[in-house]
Amino acid sequence: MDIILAVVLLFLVVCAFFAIIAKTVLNAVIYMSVFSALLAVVFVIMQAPDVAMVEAVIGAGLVTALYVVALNKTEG
Amino acid sequence: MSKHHYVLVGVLSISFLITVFAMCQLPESSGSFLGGEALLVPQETGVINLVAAVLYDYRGLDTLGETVVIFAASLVVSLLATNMPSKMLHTQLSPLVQYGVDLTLPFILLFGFYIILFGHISPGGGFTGGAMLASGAIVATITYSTTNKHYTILSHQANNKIEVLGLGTFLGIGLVGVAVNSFFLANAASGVSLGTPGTLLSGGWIPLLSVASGMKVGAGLSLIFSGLLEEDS
Amino acid sequence: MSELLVFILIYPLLFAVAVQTRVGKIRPYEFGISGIITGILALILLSITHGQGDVIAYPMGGWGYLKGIVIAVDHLSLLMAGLIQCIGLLTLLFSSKQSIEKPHIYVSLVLLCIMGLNGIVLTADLFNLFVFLELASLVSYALVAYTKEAEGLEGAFKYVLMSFGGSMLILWATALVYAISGSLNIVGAAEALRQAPHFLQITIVAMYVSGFSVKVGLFPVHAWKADAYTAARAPVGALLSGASSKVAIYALFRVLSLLFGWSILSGMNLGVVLATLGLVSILIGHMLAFGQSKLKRLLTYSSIAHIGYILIGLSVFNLLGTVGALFHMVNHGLLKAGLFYFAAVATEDDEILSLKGLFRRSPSLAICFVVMALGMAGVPPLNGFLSKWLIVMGAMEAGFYLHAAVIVIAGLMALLYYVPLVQLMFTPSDETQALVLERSQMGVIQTVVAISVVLFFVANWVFPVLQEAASNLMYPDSYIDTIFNLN
Repeated sequence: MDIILAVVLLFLVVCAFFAIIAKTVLNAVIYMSVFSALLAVVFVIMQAPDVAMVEAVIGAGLVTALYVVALNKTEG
Repeated sequence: MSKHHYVLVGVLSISFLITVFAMCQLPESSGSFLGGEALLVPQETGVINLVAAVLYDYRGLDTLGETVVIFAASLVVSLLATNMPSKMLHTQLSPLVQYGVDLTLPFILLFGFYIILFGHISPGGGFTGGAMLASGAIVATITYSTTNKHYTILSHQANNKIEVLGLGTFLGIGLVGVAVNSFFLANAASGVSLGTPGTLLSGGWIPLLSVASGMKVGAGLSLIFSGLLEEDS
Repeated sequence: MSELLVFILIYPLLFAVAVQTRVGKIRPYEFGISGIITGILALILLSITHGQGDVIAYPMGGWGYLKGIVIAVDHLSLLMAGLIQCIGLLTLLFSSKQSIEKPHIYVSLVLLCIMGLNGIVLTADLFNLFVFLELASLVSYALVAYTKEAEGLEGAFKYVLMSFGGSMLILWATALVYAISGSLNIVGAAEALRQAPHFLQITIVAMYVSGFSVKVGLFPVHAWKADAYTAARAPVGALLSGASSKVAIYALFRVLSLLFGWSILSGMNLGVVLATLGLVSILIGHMLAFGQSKLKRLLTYSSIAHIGYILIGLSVFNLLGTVGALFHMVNHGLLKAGLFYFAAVATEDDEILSLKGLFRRSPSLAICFVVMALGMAGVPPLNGFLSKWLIVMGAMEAGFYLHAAVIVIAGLMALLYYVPLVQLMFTPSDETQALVLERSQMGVIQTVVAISVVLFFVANWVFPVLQEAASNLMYPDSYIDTIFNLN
């Protein structure tokens, strides 16, 4: 379990880094969405299923959708 | 990277190192003040999910505050986001996506309702379930909207009514505690029967509060999304 | 009567929801104003039943401080709540005659901001404080951006970025407190925190100080203030500078003094650090106020300086300084609100040059400005003089001679940038048409002026109240005991 946790945490850092250096904002949003999905996995490993569910729904789903629409509006 | 960036990165890394160093000194088990024992016993609130007990009983005021934040956010979005056109609605998604959403949408919504209703005996609760319902509504809007029609599962007015009804229920249940001479947002202390922890009808007001906040959050988040899509003119 | 606490906490929500759901059927401003008046009545009722030296605590859900949330009120919180309600009332009264688009959303947002500020003032729980802080900040961003012009959006964007950093620091510090003590109650966590490793204590204090100073707008992180307040409508600027930043200072000192106690904090030299930050804020604020061509920007920089006075008064930590700082919070809140209202009605496009010849066009308005400016600079016989005097005396008593001297000199600096404005008003100009104001707007400004003059002469009655509040901050024993005795 510790190894899985370590690998996921490593990917978290990598995702966060890519989100920062991404060339376009849309890419950054997608990296953030992946980041949230991984964070949900971390929460499951840490035995917090409630938080994991919230993170998966809101972080990976809802917020990404809101960001995409907001981006869409700024381009128009 | 300009000079400012290097300064910023330097400041952030120094503060990060300081914080890590500080966190290394944290006590082994949290709650040394409480004698290291688990203090919260969810059974005394009539539910077996500790998170639901914390959200809807021990710290109900925080949940109320968070739902008010969502209410405020939907106000803000309907104020600020309407002066830009959104091109997104005027694109047609492929039939494959349409059929896929046709199939999965009922299950997303069903799962959302399940999460809300069973929040006190399994992981989940009103906040999560409401967010799930809202994401179902968002998926439907994105998929079924066509060039000339902005599709929504529930109309703006209906969402508004559900949001206010949820908030009103939350406050009403809170005031029941005051009315029976107990405290605001009191659960067991307000004299309501708790039932057997672990069954569907247990936990006193907690399932009702969960439903109320589910209505509030679901409708509020859908309002935020549709507010983002709306255009003035 | 402790149910009144719950009412004061949630009444803005009830009125905001009512305004929002019955658009077109009720008049938003009148309804919002009656809402705030209800709140003020509840506050008065609470302070009458409150008695002498008592603290009222109310356990939410009946859980006590270990498991649940406790809201509590003492003289200090009552004073702050009164200030918030008054500024909120003035804001709505003043803006009811401005033509603001979508008035129902505007009134709802102002009410929700008041709810957030009330929550910060009333709660005795660290996470609850964060929730209400976020509510108040979120609404403030929207109020700043309300005009939807590029200027307002830019100001709001800077505000969001900086204030979000501050929020994260506060949340992080709260998480550390919970990890150490296992309790989120300010009082409940104190015992474990005082035995924690020294480095951990310093980290938590540093996080709280830097987090809250972003919200306050202290010297190194004041940059958002100038843009946000200038771009916001004048009543919003008055609400933010009059109530929000004062509440953030209150929260900083309440949290730190209850969590650690002043003996540990002065062991970290926190008083010296904060007083020096205040000193730099005073100098920077007053210097930047020179040579501004926009009146609201000038007022904002003066606001940054006045935050410095309050900070020095609180961080010298003796009765004189604390009473002075609390008095200055009230004075500055009222006077700055009045000056922002003045900026809205007297200037065209916020240009200082458009004040030329104001005395001819509206003598009473010009006189109001003179009184308020003198009050801000601290000239007797006005309330600003008394509070500054007390802060200076407090600083001298604690040995902060440099700070005391700077406060005196800074008053002169303030006069130097207000005098040209007054001169401009008395210069005759081509435009001689009389400036006619809405009666309620003029009434609000005159009320502010009247209060600031009256406060000087009734100081004998005001000081006992302020002394109670100050001793609540310095010796919080009764606050702690009341919360402990809930279980």
